[in-house]
Amino acid sequence: MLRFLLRRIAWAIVTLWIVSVIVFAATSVLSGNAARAVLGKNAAPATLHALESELHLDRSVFYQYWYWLSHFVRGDFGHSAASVIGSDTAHNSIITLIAGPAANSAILAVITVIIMIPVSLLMGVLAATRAGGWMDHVTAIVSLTAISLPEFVTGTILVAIFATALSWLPPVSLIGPGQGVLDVPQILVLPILTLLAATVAECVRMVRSSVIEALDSDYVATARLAGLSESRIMFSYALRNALAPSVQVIALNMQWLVGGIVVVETVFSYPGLGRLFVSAVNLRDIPTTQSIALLLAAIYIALNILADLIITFLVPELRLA
Amino acid sequence: MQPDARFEGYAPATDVAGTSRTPTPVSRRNFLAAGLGGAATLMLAACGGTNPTPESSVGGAHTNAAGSGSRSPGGAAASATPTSGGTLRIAFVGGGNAETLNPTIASLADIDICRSYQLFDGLVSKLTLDGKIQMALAESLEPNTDGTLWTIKLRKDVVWHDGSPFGADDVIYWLNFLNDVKNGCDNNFMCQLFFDVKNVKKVDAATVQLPMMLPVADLASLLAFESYGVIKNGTKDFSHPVGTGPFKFTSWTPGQQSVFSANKNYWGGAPHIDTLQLTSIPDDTARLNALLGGQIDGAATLPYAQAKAYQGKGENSPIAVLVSNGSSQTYFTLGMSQAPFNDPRVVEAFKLMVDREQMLSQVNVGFGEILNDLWGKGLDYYDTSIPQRTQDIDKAKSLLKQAGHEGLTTTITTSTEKSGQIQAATLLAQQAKAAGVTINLRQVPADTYYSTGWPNYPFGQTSYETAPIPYFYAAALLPGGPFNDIQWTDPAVANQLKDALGEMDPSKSKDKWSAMQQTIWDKSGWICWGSSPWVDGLSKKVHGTTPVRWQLASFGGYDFSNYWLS
Repeated sequence: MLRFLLRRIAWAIVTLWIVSVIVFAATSVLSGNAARAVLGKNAAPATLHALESELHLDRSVFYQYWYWLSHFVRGDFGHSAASVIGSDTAHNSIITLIAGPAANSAILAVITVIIMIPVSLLMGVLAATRAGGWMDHVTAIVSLTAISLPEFVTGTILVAIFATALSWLPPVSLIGPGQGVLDVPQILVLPILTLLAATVAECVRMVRSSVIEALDSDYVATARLAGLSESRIMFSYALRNALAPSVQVIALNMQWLVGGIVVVETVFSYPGLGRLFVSAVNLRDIPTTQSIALLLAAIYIALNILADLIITFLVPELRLA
Repeated sequence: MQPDARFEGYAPATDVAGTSRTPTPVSRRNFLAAGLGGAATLMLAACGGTNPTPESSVGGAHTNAAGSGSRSPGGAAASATPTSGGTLRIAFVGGGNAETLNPTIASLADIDICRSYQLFDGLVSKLTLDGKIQMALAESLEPNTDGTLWTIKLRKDVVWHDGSPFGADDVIYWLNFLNDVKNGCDNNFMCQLFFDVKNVKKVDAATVQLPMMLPVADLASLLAFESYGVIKNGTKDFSHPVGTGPFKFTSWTPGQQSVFSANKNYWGGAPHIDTLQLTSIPDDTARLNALLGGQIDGAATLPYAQAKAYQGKGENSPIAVLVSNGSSQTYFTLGMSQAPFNDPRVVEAFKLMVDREQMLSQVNVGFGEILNDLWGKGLDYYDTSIPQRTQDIDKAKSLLKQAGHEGLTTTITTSTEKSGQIQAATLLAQQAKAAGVTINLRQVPADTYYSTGWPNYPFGQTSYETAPIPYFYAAALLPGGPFNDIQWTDPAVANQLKDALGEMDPSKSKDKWSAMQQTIWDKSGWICWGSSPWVDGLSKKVHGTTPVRWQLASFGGYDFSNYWLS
């Protein structure tokens, strides 16, 4: 078990390094550079050159990568290229820059997951036990619709209903300077509903089919013949076996959240990591882009490892492998 | 109308240099009164008496603005007395974490430009709607006889937000700040071209002498643009800026929101509102949703088609649409140093292919006005005597034939950086077919349009906010300027421009600027087909928005000190 974990972590580090190379290469291949992007069209050639040399943009790509990596491994994540000029010193450390938005995104994701897991298990089991009934059909139609709609469409529909028509909730996630998202909790509702619509639906479908499969299996038939109650069969046998594929699909959806949040944050102008990421790419701000990309990749890999551990725990045969 | 004593005593000092560009004394109160509504404005204009004060021009401008569809939200006539207090909440596209409060680099995002005008003042103000420049922190700008030394007299009644008095030391520090390449200031090129900052001299506590490296006949016209906010002596950090502007800094998170409070001691008169909240909402739909949902009171830059739809609803529209006219535009650029546009006949043929009416009605949905391949229609120095260029396909064809470029195929670099930009390029490609020219579109991502080869695109587009004519041409055509987007490097043109910029005799100056613009009209690779006004959405409880007083950008040049809430 420990060896398994260590091996996975070693691979995770290698993966992260590869991600850093790819992200760096991709950002460097993009036309334009941070100096131009930050200074805008009024910048005279002399001003441009001054900033380019300050950001090492006049050096080779390899030097720039090495400069970034050698500082990164020492825990110096660097400074946002966007705020190098103008001496806004209070704002230009990347840790400071990322911390707030990362916390905001985490709040969004964690609440979504906390609601997603029990709701999808409950709805999936209900739909499975009444397979073919009206409840099952309604769940199927609603969840298939939710899966087919892209998040930005779901988000727009929710805004049209709850913000524009009913005026119950704010359409855009505005928070004041120095405020956290928890100070204005009503802004969380619509983004979370949008994320839930996309994730719960998929989980429900998966839980339902794996529970149905489990209920069809020989051991359930044997249990029924032995005269065990339906609820005992469900919770002691069927559900436990159905959980392994469900954990996988839930983990997949949590990983999807890492990317899906970027889209949802844009729709609601939510002040999270996704919005910062988009802005950093637009500004060719390589240190910030790298740091966010690696953070997201690390979360992705961590979720993967966690899901594997849970499945290993649920399915005893895998523990020996 | 009793003019406020604080605003009297402007010396019409640039008389020596200017013809009609003299900064006219104006009281802000008069302006405020002008804001009370069209009828009042016209009445005031009628009472204006002997001297042509700007009230009359504002009245005219109002009619003009009303003509292009803008109206005062809530009905100007209904509410006569501005009420004080409240929080005005305005949203812009924003600039992500590159947003800055440093007023010398405030050009990347509209919200930066807007904030710099709330917190800081320039030596001179923005352009008024009739194209004039008024003094701001400077009381007067006076040149010596040949325009090589300018004496800047400063207002003596200005205090910084921290209570300390404003004076010559601040201006000298600010000029040196602009001059230092390391600071990356937008107007640094002006220090390389004109301002001899090393030899700047303090005459007394309120007077500064700035020598010029080239003769400058009209210094105000080089100063009336963005990124010229004067900073306090010793300023190095802009995270808690101290300015002189109508609003004071309270708090700010880059890319999210700032909160400013009214400067009750503002030298130009205190704002009506107590608090100004400026928010970044990058997504167009989200910004409009926030306005419709009542989270904000104003949304900057509505797409034209959407604005037209809300205008069409008349009184039933849930929001008011404000149109701020000016000479902002997105024009085509032909790279004159690259084939095929190094042949003047091809350049002229391209200018003759354009159907400007169709461009305006389709791309701008009728907003704006037709332009004549020249910068700055409606501003000082603009030559109205040059005939309007119109589409002439036969002449275009014969010019292309002479040049040996019949059936020419070329590529324009375009993007969605500015609303309507790619539509204009597409429509141009259609119009060019009549002359047998094939124009292919090369689309680059909006956020990289100005960082991927601009200003050296062989065939592209540039969008620019209203800048005075001398400023614009100096930035574009003098060697060392930031954007020669048509790559016009003819030394004769640069010399002609320097000559016009330095001409001290008003009548000769007029002729030289006319000749300069004739040269540009004849030869340049600029195709200026139409102006693009700024169109914003406002809640109906916002008043004092019309008449639009300033040019430059959204909300009548970010004129929030005049707005009030009901």
